[in-house]
Amino acid sequence: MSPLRFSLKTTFVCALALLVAACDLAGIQSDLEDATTVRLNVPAAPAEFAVTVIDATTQRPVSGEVSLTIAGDDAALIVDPLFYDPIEEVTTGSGTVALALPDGTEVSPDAPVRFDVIVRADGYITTGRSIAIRSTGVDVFEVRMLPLSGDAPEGVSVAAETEAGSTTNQGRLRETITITTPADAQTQARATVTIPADVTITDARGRVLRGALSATVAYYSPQSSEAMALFPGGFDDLAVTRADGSTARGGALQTVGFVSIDLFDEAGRRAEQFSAPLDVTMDVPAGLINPETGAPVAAGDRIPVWTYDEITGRWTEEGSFTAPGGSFVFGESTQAGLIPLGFSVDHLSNKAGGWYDTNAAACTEGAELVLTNRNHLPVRAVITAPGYSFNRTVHMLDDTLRLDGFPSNIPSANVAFFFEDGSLGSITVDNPCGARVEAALTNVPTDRVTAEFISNVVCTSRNVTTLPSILIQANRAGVTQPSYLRVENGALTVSGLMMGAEYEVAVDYKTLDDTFQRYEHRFIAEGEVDQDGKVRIVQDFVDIQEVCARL
Amino acid sequence: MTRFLLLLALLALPGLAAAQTGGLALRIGTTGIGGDAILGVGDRFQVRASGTFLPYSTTYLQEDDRVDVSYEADAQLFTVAGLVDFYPFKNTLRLSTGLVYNASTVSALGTPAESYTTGGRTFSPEQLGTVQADLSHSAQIQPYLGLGFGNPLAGGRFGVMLDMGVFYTGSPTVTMEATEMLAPTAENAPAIQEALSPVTIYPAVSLAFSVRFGD
Repeated sequence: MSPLRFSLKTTFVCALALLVAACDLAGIQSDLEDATTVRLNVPAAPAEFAVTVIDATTQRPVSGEVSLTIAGDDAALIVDPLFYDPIEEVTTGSGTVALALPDGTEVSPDAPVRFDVIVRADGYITTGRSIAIRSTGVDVFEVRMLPLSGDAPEGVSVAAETEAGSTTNQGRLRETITITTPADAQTQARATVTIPADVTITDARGRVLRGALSATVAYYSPQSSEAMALFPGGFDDLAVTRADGSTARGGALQTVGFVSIDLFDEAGRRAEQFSAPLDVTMDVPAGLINPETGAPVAAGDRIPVWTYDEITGRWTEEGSFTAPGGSFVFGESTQAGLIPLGFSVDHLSNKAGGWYDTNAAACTEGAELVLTNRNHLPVRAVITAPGYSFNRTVHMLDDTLRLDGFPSNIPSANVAFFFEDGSLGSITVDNPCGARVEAALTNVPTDRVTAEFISNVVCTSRNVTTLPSILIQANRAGVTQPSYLRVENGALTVSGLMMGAEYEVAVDYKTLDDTFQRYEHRFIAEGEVDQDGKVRIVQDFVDIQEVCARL
Repeated sequence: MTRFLLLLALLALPGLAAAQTGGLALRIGTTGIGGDAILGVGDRFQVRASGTFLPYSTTYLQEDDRVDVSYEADAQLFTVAGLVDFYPFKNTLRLSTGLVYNASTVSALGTPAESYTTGGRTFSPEQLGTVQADLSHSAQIQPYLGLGFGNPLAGGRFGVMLDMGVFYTGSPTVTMEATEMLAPTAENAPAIQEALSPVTIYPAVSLAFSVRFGD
C-alpha cells in the first residue's frame, strides 16, 4: 500500500469517526432522559375543602396544636386530599387542615355530604362546626375559637377568675361559686353561673377536681355578628338532638344567646360533671323575635335550652325553660327590657337558648350572588342577618357565592366583602332564597397585578413531575386574614398581587401519624409585567420528602 | 429535487458518450433494503441511483415499579439517493457524494399498560391517556458523503460493495401529542428536540451485491 493511499484511507475513516463521535451520544442520552420526564396532571378530588381554625381575638389562624375530630352521618367519607387517608382525628400546628371527598362521591344541594368537626385546643374554649358539602369543587370553612384569656371580641363578655374557689381534700366544693360576666356593651346582657357548695366535680375521665379552681364564663350576645361567629356548630347545616332523643339536621338554631363555662383545677383537669346541678342565668336582649310566636320574646315564652355535645358536635336539647316577667333586676345592675333565662345543668359545656327551626332548611338552594368585577381576587365574604343570630364566612374561589342553607324565615342577608384586611363594600340581598343577584365590589385596589404561576411538585426520586390540583393558602406577608386559592393542574392565577411585596404560599398535608404539616414557600412578587398587566412566575415545590415518599 | 436531478445529469453528460458499462445492485444496511443502478462514466467516475426502504414496527414494554408502559414504535425509512462515486486510485476504494431524498419518519405511541396509583388514588390506563411522539426532518433533501469499497463495474461480473457514510439530516423536528392526565407530557417536545439537536447526521452503512452489464 502506498503511503498516499494509506494516508487518504486513514483520513476518511478518521473523518467519519469524528463525525459520529461529535454526536456525544452519552450527553444526548443524558439530555433525553431529563427531557422525557413524565408530566402528569393529577385531577382534584370531587370536593376539596380546608377547615381553618381562627383565633377570635387575633383574627389569625390558631398557631398552637389544634385537634380536630370528624363525626356525624358522613364522617366515614372524609379523607385527606393528597393520600386519601380516612380522617377521624387529626392535629395541626398551622390552624388548617385540608380535607376531601374521595373519587366517586356524588354531592348535590339535595343530597349533601354532612359531617361535624369538633375542635379542641389548649387555652381555647372547645367548639365545632356542622358542615354540608353541597357541590363539587373547593370550599373553605372557618371555625372561630375564643381563647380563655385575652381580649374578647365585640359582643362577647368574659369573666375569668383564677381563684374562683377550692375543694376539700375529698373534692367537695368549699363554698358557693358565683361568676357573673361583665354586661355586653350593646345590650347590657350578661350571664351568671352559680355552683353550689359541697358539690363534687369530676372531669371527662371521672377524676375528681381538687384544690384551687379557676373558672372562665363567657356570654355571647345574639345581636353581635362577632359573637355569633363563635357559635359552636355554625349556621351552615346544624345538627341537633332533640329532648325526645330524635335527631335533626339542616335547620337553624336561632339563639337568644349562649354561654360557655370552663372550670379547671390546679392539675389542669377540666370540669365535666357535677354531683348536683348548677344554676345558669342568661339575659335575653330585648327585641329578639321568637319564631314560635312571630313576636319579640316576652315573659312566659317557652325557650328551649341546648347543650353543645363536645363528643358528637351536636347541640342537645335539655328542656324548655320559661322566661319570667318583664324587666329584670340582675345583681347590681338594672336594665329594662332584658329578660332573664334561668336553667340548671349538671355538666359543663356551651349552653344556648334558642329555637331550632327545621323550616329554615327550606332554603336549600339559596340565591346565587355573582360578583361582576372580582377579577380573580381571593375575596372573603361575611354573611350576616341584621336582627337575627346568623354569621357565616365564605372564601370565594370563583365569582359566585351561593346562599344555600340560609334560614328561609330570615327576610334579608347582608354580605360584606373583604380582600386582605380591607373592605370591598357590602350589599343587602333582599331575597336570600331567591334567584341570581349581580353585585360589584367597591374599593378594588388598582395598583395590583395578576400573576400566572406555573407550579410543579417535583419529586426528584421519581421520573414524574406532578401537576396537582390542590387548595393552597396564599397571603401577602403581614396580612391577618388567610386567603385560599386553587391550583389547577399546576397552574395558579393570583390577582391583586403587589409587586415587590413578599408573599407566603402554604400547603397543608397529612403525615402518617395523623398530623397535618405545613409546607411554606415565600417569594417576592417580581417579574416583567406584560401589556395586559400580567406577570408570569414559575415556582417549583421541590421534594417535600414526606409527600414524595408516599406518592 | 428537480435541481438535484439536473445536476446529476450535467455531471454525467461528459461521460455518457464514453459510457461502456453499467450495473445493478441489491443493498441492505442501516437505511433499509433496496437497490442501485450504476453507470460508469470514464475510468474514475460512476453515477449511482439508489433507493432503500424499511418499514419497521415494534412494541416494547417498559416495566416500572409503579406503572408499566407499552410503546408501539413505527419507523418508516425511505430514501432515494443520487450519488457520484469517485475512484481516485482506479481500484476498489471510492469516495461517494450526492444528495439524498429522505422521507423517513419515526413515531411512537406510549400507553400505560396498567393502573397507576398515587397516594391513595388509582387511575386507570384510560384516565391516564396516551403519549404520541413523531420525529421528522424539515429538510428532506440532504447531502451525503461516504467512503466505499468495491467497484461493481470492474473485475468480475458479480461483486460486493461496502458503503460507509453519513447523511447530513440537520436537527430533527419533534412533535408530541398527549391526552388525559398525560396531556402536559406533550410539553416535553421542545426539550426533546433540543436534546436531539446535536444529532445532525445519519450513519448510512450498507452492503450491496452487484452484477455488471456490458463490457
